[in-house]
Amino acid sequence: MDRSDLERELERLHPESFGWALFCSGRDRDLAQDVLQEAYARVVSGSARFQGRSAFRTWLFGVIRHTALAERRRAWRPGALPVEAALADPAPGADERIEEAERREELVLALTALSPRQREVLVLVFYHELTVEEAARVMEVSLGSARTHYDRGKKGLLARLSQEVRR
Amino acid sequence: MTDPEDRDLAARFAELRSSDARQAPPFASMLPKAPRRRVVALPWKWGALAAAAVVIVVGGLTVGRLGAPPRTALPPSTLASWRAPSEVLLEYPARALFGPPMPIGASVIDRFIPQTSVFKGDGP
Repeated sequence: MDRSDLERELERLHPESFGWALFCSGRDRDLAQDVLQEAYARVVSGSARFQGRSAFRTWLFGVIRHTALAERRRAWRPGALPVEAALADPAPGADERIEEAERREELVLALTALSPRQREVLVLVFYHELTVEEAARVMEVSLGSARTHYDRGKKGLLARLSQEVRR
Repeated sequence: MTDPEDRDLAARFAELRSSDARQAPPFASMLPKAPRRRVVALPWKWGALAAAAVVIVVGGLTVGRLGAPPRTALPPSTLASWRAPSEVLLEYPARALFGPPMPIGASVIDRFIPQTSVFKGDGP
């Protein structure tokens, strides 16, 4: 892949990549932008090289995940999703339904109750529509481990969401 | 994803995804135009340690220079008067014995015996 091909692929996946960077950065928008910029720089400069062993998107998500981990270590930020940051997203516009915004907040809050691995696998599968196998590759865990995190995470998330609904 | 629960989760995540996508910064602003050079901020502790080390080294050099005896200029030497520092090794007690050959009729010990009297006879 030459630079123009890389840039075209990055642009195509940009909204999704930003969403993944948001989750990897604890829903901190500024940090997510820094992470994504750094990840793109790594890809374009060739310090992270795609070798075709997996789908480009799977590989790119791995680069973003690694970059976010490094940024968080450098900046001493905790790995868990900070609720304040999650809820500090811009308020819904006039055309957006309040109900929808509340549902989003419920989901983000419910995700904070999960372990990082469970959260990662659920986001990759439900948010990014990856298979559990692809998610395992991004997370650099075995397929069996990813399945375990997926099952436990899904149960936990559903339990949490049903609690929210009952309130 | 066939379970109703899975479909509900997928729908919730899809709402979140579309909301996040609306907040995504423009792609062009995220792409580096030129290779970026990351400036890593030096932690203040390392900076303080480096400054302290510089002060100690400079202070030590200054004090050492003040306490040292003043340097005296060496007298100018000529090539003819120069002697190798190891020349002392060539000095040994019997060196004179191995000096230039004695003239005929002279003895090697003549130079060590003081000439107290000189025979002034008429000769045979």
